[in-house]
Amino acid sequence: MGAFTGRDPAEEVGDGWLAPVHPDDRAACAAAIPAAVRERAAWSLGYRLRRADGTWARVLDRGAPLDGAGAVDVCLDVSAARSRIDALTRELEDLSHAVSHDLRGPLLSIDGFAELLADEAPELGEEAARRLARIRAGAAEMRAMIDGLARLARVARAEPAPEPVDVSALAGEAVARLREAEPGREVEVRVQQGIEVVGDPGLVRLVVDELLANAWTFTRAGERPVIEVRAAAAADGAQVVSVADDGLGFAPERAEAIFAPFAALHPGEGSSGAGTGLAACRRAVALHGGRIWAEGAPGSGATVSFTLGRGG
Amino acid sequence: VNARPILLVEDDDDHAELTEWALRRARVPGPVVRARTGAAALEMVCGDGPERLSEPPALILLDLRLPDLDGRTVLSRLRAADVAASLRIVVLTASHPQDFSAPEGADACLAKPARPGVLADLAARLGVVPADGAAREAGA
Repeated sequence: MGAFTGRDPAEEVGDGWLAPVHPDDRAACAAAIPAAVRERAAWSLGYRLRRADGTWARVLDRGAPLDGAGAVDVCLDVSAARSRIDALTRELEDLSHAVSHDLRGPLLSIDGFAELLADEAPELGEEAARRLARIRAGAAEMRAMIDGLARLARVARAEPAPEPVDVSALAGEAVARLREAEPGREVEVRVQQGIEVVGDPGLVRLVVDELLANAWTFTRAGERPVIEVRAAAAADGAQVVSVADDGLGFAPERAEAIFAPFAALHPGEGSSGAGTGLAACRRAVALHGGRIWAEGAPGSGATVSFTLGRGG
Repeated sequence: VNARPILLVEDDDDHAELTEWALRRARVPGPVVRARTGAAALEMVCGDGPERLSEPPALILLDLRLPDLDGRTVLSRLRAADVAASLRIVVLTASHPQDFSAPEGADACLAKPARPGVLADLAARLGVVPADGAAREAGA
């Protein structure tokens, strides 16, 4: 450690160990590691650490308290791996963007000519009209997926400009739109008033819209479904916003998988982003330094919660 | 009817055929002239060679993705032409509306494929169609 940071072990006592930590990461370190030691729990934390030559290293700090007093930890320099991952991620985002654009052209031909044929040749007969309708339905489904992919790429490139955002108001607007689109459905929605987070207004709206649209979609089977939007404070003081429904739920082992692009979609079930909605949410939340997770069980509803980190 | 021509600047043959069909269905008057490149379009509108149309187009439908020039460059050169004041230019895009903002100099932008009803309304709004109800007939 000393050779790495160029510091004397004597400098590390008290709060001294925090000095070489990047100022933006210091608060998180100062909170998480002493808390873990107090609670006799192991920790694993990524942050930036100043090297002896003044450059910043991205380190992974894994440690555990000792039986007696104190703790032991190892800081692994993961800078090279991190920049490689960042470069690959950017490449992938550029690819998604290009692919989503280039796929639109040919799809437009398929859909356009199917429409043209259906319009110009009513004498083709009912069966042909039905088949043309199926071509067009397939094209529409594919367009929704491409749009979802494009949105994912757009979110990944976004640069959040945080400001106070009224989540309760956004939730109310989202519900109004859902009701307007499907006036026949009876869904009870309870929105806790006064929920405010600090985040990018566009990205927070995306998350709120998507979580409500998901809850709305997957409560379909319920008799008189209930959706609840509420907020609570997490142990570390960050505000956690949750959208809970009492609908179809999901198998707990899929709690992570549903955030992967195109994985959220079950056969025959739809969501607004055609399987990319929750993935877009995860990226939007991660851009704020927050996290998003899901809890649920088959048949007993799902709760998706997010926090935008300490600031939110 | 000796209406001024409609210029369609589009390199994709499929998309051109679909747009021409939509123009016919929308009953937008005038012969449709096609340019496959930005350079060809500029020749037709404001060039000094034999390709120049005898009268400027009443409406230009301009795809922004062209094989030679950027559609935005074509647009700004058209707007700098001597006949610019008489040109109604609509840009066409295959992009998702959220990925797209209308460039300066365009009178309107239209998502591909152009629907007959939307084209009819747009042509009427830009004064390309005489107000004789053709737009309403084409439907939305």
